[in-house]
Amino acid sequence: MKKLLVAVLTLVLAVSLVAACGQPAKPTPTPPPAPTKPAEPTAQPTPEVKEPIIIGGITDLTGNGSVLGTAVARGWELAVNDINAKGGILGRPVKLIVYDCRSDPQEAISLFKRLADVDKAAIVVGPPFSNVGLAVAPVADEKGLVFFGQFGDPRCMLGEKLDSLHPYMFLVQPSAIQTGIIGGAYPFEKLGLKKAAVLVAEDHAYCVTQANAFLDYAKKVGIEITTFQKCKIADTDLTVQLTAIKNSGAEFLFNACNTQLLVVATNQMYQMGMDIVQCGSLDFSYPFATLVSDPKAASRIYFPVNLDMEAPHLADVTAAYIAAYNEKPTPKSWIAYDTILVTKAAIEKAGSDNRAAIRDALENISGVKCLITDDFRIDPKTHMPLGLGMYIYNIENGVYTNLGYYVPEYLKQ
Amino acid sequence: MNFSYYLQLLIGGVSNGAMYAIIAVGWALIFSILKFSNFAHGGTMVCSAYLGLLATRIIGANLWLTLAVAALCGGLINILVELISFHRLRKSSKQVLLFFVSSITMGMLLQNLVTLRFSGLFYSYPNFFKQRFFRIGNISFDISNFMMLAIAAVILGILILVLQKTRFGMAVRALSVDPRTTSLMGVNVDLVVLATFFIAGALAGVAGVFVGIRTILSPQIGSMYTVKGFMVAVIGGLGSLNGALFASLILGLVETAFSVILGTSLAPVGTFFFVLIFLFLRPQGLAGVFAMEKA
Repeated sequence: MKKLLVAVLTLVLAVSLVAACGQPAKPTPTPPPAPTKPAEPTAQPTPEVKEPIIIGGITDLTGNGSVLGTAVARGWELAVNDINAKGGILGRPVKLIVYDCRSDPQEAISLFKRLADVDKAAIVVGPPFSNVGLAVAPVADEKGLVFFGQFGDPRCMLGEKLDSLHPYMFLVQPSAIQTGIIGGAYPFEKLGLKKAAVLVAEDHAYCVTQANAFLDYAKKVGIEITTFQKCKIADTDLTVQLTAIKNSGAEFLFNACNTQLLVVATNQMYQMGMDIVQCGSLDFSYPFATLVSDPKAASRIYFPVNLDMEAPHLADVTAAYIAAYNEKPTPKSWIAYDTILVTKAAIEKAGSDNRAAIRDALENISGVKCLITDDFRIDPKTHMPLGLGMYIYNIENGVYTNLGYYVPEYLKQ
Repeated sequence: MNFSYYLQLLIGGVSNGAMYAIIAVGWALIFSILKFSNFAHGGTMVCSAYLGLLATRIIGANLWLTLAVAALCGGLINILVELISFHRLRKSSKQVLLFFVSSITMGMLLQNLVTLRFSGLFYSYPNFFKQRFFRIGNISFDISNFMMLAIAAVILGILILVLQKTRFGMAVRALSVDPRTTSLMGVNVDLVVLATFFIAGALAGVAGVFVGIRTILSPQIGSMYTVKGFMVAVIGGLGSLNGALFASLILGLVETAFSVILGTSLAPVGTFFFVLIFLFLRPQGLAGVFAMEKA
């Protein structure tokens, strides 16, 4: 009986471990059937089966980054479905293989190697998590496989001292430096606020770079930093940091955290009666305001987004996304969709799924029409996009409002 | 920083302590009668917290109804945990390893059931309080902190009364001393154990709602608060309810103090160091009774 009990317990343990760890690859879209000729009575021609082009994907489907990570994976999937419906790339179907890295850079390295060596991916698209980008960068160079993603920390592309280009790392969105300056400049330039507190997720590379960019900017333009508070991605209680911020006399909070921490901070600020302005990155965008405990808590918040979320040209993709997943896309979803469109353009420019050729094509890509811009181009010196503008959004009582295109005076000089 | 800053931190620390107390007392209750650490307690907490959240979303439950739903669900889940994981073990085995594996397995299973249903996303409880805070002079105080403190005090007060003044409480205390003799005295041991698991599960449910109100809900909170509950139970003296109560307050305040002194990054290091030093100096815990633990 004991043996039976141990066997049952072991089985239960195994099932729960599989449930926890074994996030399977997302179902890959089925390639469209090859065009068939009308049937002839005497001949049964076998349709030519073309080898699919493999696009790998690594993102967070569970864990602390799952909100954004899932939105990104869905954006990729939608774009691949659209491409396959229109005949694929270079006449070949596209197969998307997505793995869950669970916010773990070590896991991401293993998955990247698997995509490179086992799945034979032509290119890998990546998550909005710079920790993952930083960890995978040397492996991408070693494997000679492009990692193209939303990891906004410029060190992912340019190395620790921003002076050595990783040849196989590419960014699809504005960098953390650009976001940090624009997000922090708005309360100063437009709202006239001069005392700032900073809260940063110290174990999140994007957040740290963003906060440092704001601190540099604040020093140069004369914003007083009343307190500098740190937290960690897994924190669920920020009352100690917020109490310090509350008592520091800050007029606004530069909140350099991911979505989960932004929700915790906003909920707790609301409970504590802190009504100061918050600013930060596009992690404040949808679904942030729907995740807070009370819509009123999501107020006095300003953040930059690199596209107009109500723009008419987004309507088709938005409608398809809602139809497929029964929820609204986030800016990360749209950027993920664009990542696949740019990937398609790079493969077509390369003329094959050769990894080195795709890298060369992506490095010099320009003129790609996608959702975030009509002319997506990459700077060959930095592997970051050129010319992406930023819109400032405001949240009041949980409602998002576009305040228009904004370039700080500081960046105009 | 001024006086009000430290006063607000103090209240926050005590409030955290109240949350830990609800978790740790449920833990201690099980340990006191069965002499093993129920690591499935965190799993029960996270399941009932999510069921409480569903109550707010589906039927628009207010705070009191949410607490009642979570407590009821926590109690029922814990009864299932006892029947599935521990009942046969109690009857047939004294092996430490089996109790340990069984409770860990159940805890993981419950947590992963929540992950399967709600994925890895996180959720917030709705705001239950019309008034968020109140002011005394120029100091503002968070209403939810005081509500948690008050509710925890009432619940724990009732629990202590039940354990001290009722026949059921007497049976639980007798069981914690000598299960065999208690059985020979005509007490239905299995029923008392089930009732104790129900109470511990109800406490886990209440704690889950508190965690949801104060922070956010994600499946991982089960593991996180299991560790804290266990730390409190150990500091308090395994199996001691009074010890767990005091240890909860101490842990809440120590965490807050280290956050201020060392910074929030190093605060966990300071807290674990404090626990190590404490156990080095007083391995039997605050209560002074050195219990023999099965697992």
